[in-house]
Amino acid sequence: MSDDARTDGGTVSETSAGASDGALSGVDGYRVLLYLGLLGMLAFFLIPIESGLVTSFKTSSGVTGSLPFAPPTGATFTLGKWQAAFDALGRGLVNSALYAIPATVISALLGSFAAYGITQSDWKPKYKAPILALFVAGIFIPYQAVLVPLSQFWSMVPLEESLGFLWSLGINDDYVGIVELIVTHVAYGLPICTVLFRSYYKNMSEEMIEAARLDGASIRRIYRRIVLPLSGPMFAVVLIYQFTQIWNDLLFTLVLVQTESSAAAPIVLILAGLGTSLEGQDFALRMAGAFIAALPTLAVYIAFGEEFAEGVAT
Amino acid sequence: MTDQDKRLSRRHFVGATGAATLAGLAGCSGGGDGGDGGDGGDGGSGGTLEVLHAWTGGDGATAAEALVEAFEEEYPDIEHEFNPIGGGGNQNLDAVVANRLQNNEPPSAFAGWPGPNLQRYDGVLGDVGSVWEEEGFEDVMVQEAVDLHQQNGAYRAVPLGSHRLNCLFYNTSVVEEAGVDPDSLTSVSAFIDALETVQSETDAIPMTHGASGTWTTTQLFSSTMLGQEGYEAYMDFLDGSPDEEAVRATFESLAEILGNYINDDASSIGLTESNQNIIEGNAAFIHQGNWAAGAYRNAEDFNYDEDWGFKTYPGSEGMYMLHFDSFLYPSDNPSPGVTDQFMAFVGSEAAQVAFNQYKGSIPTRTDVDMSEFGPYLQETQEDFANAEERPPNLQHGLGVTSETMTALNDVISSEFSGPYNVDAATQGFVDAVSN
Amino acid sequence: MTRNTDTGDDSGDAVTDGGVTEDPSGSGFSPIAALNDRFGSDFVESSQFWLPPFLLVGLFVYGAIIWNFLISLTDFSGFGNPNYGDLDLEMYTRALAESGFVDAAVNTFILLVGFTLVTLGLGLGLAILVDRNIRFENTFRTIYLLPMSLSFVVTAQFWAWMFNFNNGVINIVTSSLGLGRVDWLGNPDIVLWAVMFALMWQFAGYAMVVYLAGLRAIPNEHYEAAKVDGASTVRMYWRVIIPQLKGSTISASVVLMVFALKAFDFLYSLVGGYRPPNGADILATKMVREAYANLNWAYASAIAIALFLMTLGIVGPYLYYQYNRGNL
Repeated sequence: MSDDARTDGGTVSETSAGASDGALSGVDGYRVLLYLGLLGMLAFFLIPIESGLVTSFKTSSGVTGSLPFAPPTGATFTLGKWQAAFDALGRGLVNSALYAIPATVISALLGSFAAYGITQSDWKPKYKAPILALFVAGIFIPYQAVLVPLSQFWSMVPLEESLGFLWSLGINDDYVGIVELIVTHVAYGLPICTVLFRSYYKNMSEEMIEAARLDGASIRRIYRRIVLPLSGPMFAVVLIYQFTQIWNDLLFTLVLVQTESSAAAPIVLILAGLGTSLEGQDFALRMAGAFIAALPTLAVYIAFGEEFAEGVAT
Repeated sequence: MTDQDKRLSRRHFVGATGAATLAGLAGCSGGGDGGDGGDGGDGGSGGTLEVLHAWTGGDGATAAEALVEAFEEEYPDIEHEFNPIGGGGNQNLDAVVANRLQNNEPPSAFAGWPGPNLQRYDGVLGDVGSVWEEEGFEDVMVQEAVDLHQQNGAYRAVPLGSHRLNCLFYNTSVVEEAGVDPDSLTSVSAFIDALETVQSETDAIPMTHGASGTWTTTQLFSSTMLGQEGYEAYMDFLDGSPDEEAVRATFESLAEILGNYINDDASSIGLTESNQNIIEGNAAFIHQGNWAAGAYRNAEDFNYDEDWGFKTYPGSEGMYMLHFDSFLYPSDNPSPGVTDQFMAFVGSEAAQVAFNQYKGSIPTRTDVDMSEFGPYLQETQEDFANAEERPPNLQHGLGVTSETMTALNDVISSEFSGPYNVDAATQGFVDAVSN
Repeated sequence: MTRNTDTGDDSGDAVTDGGVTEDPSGSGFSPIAALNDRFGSDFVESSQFWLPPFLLVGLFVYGAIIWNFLISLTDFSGFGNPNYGDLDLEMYTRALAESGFVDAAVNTFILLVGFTLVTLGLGLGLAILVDRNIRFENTFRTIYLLPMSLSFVVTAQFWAWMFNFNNGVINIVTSSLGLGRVDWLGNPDIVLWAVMFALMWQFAGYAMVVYLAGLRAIPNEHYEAAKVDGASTVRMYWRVIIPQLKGSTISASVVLMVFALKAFDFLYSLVGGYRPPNGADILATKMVREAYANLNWAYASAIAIALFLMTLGIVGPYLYYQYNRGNL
């Protein structure tokens, strides 16, 4: 994306855009202002993170006794908060992964199926449109609108009983919440997955598919042989987007797992209550916890920033 | 924390059918459960005791551990799980309990407040009358405990300990610097004058208040009303026939206190930070339940009578505003036999001494040897035993139903968290409690 | 344009969509053929792909919304199950009479509009800055978008600390500027704006990405033409470029508004409980509190319906707009 840099006439007379950097004398005031603006915004976006990061390494007296953005000094430096945060959140990392990964993969696959079935098959657009509209509208539903029925539904489904073999293996039956989370996230993640895949399939070359059709390949075969192999880039986008969304969501975990004391508590649920108790607000602990909870999505973001941007922009 | 989690192991799935039959049995015996209390003869899959509570940190956690230890000593054979449900004060516990009850998988017992608070569990609580009878609790507990643990004519819970609500704590050196004698403050107006003195004579905050939640203000309302308008007016308010003028006068005093004498950051801090102001000598007074004193005990070089002091909230001398920490008994109990044993234990001297000395509360029994408690709690116990009146608290379940309490807190939230709208708050409170 | 397709090795009943009324195989009436006839040749065969996901979404999203509406007509609260025999609109009249509901609805609206406007504004500014042919464009873009990858739970921790009364960055800055400390999260008149600011921080990068895509879709000639006309840079953007970003603005606004409606996670995490700071209660938080803290299920469902209608008011026109432009 950065390749298509464009000379948009931003500078009044410029033949070599980057040649003059470093030599202040050669830079006109306009570009100085531009970069100052860019750097100012950089500071705006980074200060909360920077302040959180330095605070997470401070002792309690360092937190109250020094500037919030100043790094810890020798006397106020500690790794103890990270240790404590990791002790509290470690199991949450595992629990979150237990539902975030399956739910991400399943919702991406089903989304790809749905998009393919609607987009690349031959049936009347006037019937496709309402189905598609229902998928698209599903993206925007506020989860609150389905929450009470959702809890009713999960309390009616005898999931815990039917998974009895798991508990008899010694797995805590709180983990029924993880199974519920997988199904729930798949269901509510499907609309966005479908729409992302649809935008991709709509622009897919039709020639190969046409040719295959004429050869008498079944719809299933076309998907397996042609569409799926070509979907790689979009799968990257969808998987990254979905993983971030599911990992980051609090509301469903609050309703389905309920308490950070549960053995199956996801990391966001533990983090939401971390460091706020009757003993006071331990901000260093909260910051360390925030970073631990953010690490997986941050890693994904830094590694796949382009795909993430594409996912959110669609 | 992780150790706890390992202990969480499985719940009572062991045999769904077994649990179901037990539930059926318990359901049948709900009306007149004879003498199955004693020795938990059902054994088998009904044998695991599961107790939910919210004492996850600090004093509470220590106290809960002491309770478990004492229980193990008394009943070494009972398989048990004590599950602390953390977060949001009692909120998460309440939500988890509600969900478990809703899905018909109740725990054996859970921590909660008795009194009108029991109404929210209407229809899902069992009868522990047999335990009360066998253990003779009616004779050893204060009368208010006897009354408040019943609902629809049956005992639904057993008390473990009691905090006091109408407390004013102060930092000795700050009040001395200001030249205020706390013991002379026997009316709310004298108290306000003292706050003014602190304001003019020292740099300290006259009264520290942590109002990030509304509950501290509702709580302050109850003590102020009791101190200023007296026992009758306060009880009328709880009973649903409030005297509007008494409510208004209370709010006027509150507006004066909160509007002039509290810390700037009151609305964004909670109890703990607020209490810290007393410990660090930044503030003169704080109104709280006596759980606040737990922090003083844990603070270094901060001793009762030397560094901090206690005064009954001005005007409420001779009264002890009640609070109970109790265990509630769900019907369809998954382990009726052992739960009865546990309930009997909760009301015993061993349990009440073990728990309360760490929690900073006092036993609800009047026959307990207080020698293991510190001087402050010993005094509290004397006040408790000798109090002329023990009015129930407003904010912690004993005075009004949870619904009314929510309504009151909504009023504080919208009308009385700065700016202080006396008229609207008065109207809101009167409407909320009126029958 | 009829085209014969067959189902390959799957089954014998090849289907034609030639619009014939008689069943070509002559084996009597076939429901599959009838369906394909009605909806298009691949309808039945392709349904193995789209139907299961569609049913899942239909059940969990639309089924649940209808169910939610039903519950909102009962008086379901506390333990037990809703009684569907006695339906009325009592919960809705109760909501309209409750000041807490009205406040939450107003706050939701303020947050919705305010947050969307400031975020769009900042996002547009960022997009223009980044689009000015700068060096390290990738780095700048990545960092601007970074907060978007974080959970509300995480950003709430950061901003609780930023807004901290005694030690937070914001108050350090304001007091060093001589403005004194402000109780950002405690003052009911300010807190909503503070929340808005934090959410803007999190989502401005998103608006930037959308606008950047919009800017890059504008042909270079438009910039050139404006320059030839002697328009200043500011004028050029104002007169020529920004009007062409209508599409980006619309789609970004819709997504941002939906984010604002979902700000529950942020507010919950800010305080670690169901009740947000005074003055910051929105419908999303009130609904969850009524349901899971107060067990007023029916009432919570009614609030949820109000929230749903608000969303519908935003998304409905948007979908219609997209439909008309052939984007559906």
